Amino acid sequence: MKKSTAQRILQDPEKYAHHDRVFLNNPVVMQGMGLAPLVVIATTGLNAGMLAVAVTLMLTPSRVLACLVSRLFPLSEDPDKEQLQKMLLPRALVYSLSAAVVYLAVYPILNALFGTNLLSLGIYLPMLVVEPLLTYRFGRVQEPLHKAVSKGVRITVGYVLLLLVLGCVREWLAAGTVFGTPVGRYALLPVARMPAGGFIVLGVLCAVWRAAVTRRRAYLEKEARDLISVHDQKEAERKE
Amino acid sequence: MDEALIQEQEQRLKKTGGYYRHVCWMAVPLLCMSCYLYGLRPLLLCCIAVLTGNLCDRLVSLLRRRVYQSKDLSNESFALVIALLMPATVDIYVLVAAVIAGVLVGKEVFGGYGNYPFNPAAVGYAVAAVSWPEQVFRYPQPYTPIPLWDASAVPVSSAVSDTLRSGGVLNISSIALGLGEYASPMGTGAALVILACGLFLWAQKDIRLTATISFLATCTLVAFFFPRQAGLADSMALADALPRLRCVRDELLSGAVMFSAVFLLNEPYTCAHHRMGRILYGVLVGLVSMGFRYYGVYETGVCFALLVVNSISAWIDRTETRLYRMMGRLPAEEKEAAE
Amino acid sequence: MKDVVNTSVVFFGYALVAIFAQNAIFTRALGVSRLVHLVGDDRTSSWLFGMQLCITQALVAPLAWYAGSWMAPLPFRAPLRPLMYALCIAVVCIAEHLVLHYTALPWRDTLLHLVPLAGLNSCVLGTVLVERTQSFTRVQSLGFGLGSGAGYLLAVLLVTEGRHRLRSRAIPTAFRGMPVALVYIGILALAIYGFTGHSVIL
Repeated sequence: MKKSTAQRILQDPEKYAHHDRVFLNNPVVMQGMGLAPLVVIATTGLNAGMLAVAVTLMLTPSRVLACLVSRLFPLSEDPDKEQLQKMLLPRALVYSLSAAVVYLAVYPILNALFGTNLLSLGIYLPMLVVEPLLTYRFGRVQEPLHKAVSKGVRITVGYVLLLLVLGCVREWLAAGTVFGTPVGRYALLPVARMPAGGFIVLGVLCAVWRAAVTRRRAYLEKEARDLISVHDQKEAERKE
Repeated sequence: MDEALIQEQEQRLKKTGGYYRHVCWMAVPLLCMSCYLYGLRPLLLCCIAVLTGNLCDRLVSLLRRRVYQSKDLSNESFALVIALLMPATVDIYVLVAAVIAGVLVGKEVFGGYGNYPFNPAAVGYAVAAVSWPEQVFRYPQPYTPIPLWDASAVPVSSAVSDTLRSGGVLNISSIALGLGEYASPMGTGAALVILACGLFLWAQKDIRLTATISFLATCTLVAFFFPRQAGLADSMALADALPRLRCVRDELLSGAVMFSAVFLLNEPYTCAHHRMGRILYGVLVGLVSMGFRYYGVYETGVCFALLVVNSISAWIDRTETRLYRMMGRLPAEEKEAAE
Repeated sequence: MKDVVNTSVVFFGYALVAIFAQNAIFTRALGVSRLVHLVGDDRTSSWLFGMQLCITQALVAPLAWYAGSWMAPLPFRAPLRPLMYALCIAVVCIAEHLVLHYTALPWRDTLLHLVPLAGLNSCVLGTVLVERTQSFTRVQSLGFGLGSGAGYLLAVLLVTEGRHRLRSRAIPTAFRGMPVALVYIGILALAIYGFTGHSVIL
């Protein structure tokens, strides 16, 4: 671990964890975004893969476009009631309509890539347009363009990772295969294929992930603390 | 787990631990009847279920860093109830999965003893029923030799539910229905034995008659006034009283209705606690389970109905308390109102 | 007269199906992210949110039906659909905002805050998409839309009712909050299968 990282961790552990959108602050596990497609559609590795491509193509471009257009209706850090009432609805419409416009361009690409397999995503592909994962920013302070790009990319990676993990786990539990190849002999839990099973498997997966995050954060803080104290000791010895 | 929580659970165990112990004991006569009808496989299945429940309890104690309580027989009682709801030919894996789902997902995820909003046995059964309906809803005929380990070759049928669903009449005598001598789950067929177990549990104050009687009365009234038998629904209720009473007999003695009334409905932490609440709870479970049986997909609609009504049993309790307080019948102290 | 009766039967029939057999949350997980946030959020009233969503749904259904019928013959209707429906929802949300702004209804401020949350919700868009993919008629769409909103409200009430148990200190730390809420919703969805079986028409 570098000294600068250790200092950042100790200075504000929450902010450090918040920055990592892939593991420590995964958008699904820690913030509950984008649950509908995960629960109903991510039943096989292939479905999860198609959804992952769709989210990758849509999330960052729509966030950037919405960031640019929503400059017309900016929201400050601590908005009062008046500002909220005036700005919230236009910003929400800007974010959803930007996603819908990006969808116009993304759909033909997905159709060319996946063909009729795309039908198994059903209504959940067009529904991404109002998914909080893509539009949550409307209720928050206006962000600069570079942050929209960087956060968009990081959130995409975090969501795609969870999508693929959940898709593979559910496919393995329900059918004993992963991306179509048999792994093991039995279907351990066929209910994992259904939305009810999806809720339960996702809940358990989130709990396991959160436990891992807590452990990892405790480990990082301990490492950071030890590194800084060793460094301070060495400085003190050098001065002597 | 912190000390205060452990003590809270120990106090709860002292108060309600007896219920689960008695349910485990009352599973024994049902198991004996089942062994008489189906051979030794029910015994094997129940032992495996109890072992799975116990191992889950030990595992969770390890994970949550608390001492394993050997006096806590709740997991074992849920496991036995799940096992008795299954046919004698069910795959051992299906039973183990049902028990693990019931105990871990239905009980431990929500905080363990006394904290679950849904009856864990109903949860485990629902998971198995939805995952493996061809295993859970097809039953062997009694007195068929069933091999101990692999029962996949034994002929099974769902004749009773098919007959009732298509508006037919069951061609089984009342005595056979009462003793479970027809294709049914392991422990839910022998209505007379279940009644006897119910009487024992009532004598031990584990069963509240208000919930059980209101549930059975609702099922009876629905079956009497809206029978499934073809041709009866349009006729006058009192003119065709005898065929309607036969429908009532068929509906009450099949589909695990009696078994649920005795073993599932009165679970201390999912049933309503006040008297009027328990009556309403019983009526709701009765209405929803008959609705599920008539229009739903699975025969044992009771377990699914229980899950639905469990979600509002706490609201029933709170509403009743608020009503009593408004009427001035309730003192300020909550404890005196609760059982 | 007979037509009116028939229409009413179809309307209420589809509404009931949308509330129970094809509940937006339990069968299709529509709007579940918002629901999970509601469970953890004491500030937003579940009743008001559910009611607002119901009203929006009822108003969007006929508009979306006309838009969908207009789009049906177009060759590029698939990518255009979300944009058209989002525009319909936008029109309804703006209308609701104006009505709330210029009248003195009770809970005005809360409702103004809830209009975008309840309008731009996967439940609203998801329902109109279902109505289009299953080719519902106008009356069926209206009934299904209203029923879907009512079904969402019912789900919101059921899950926020379970809030008391879902905040118990005894729940393992890793499960507290969203994971246990998801398992709770999953078990309720499992219970609905007793009625509908487990086939989901996407």
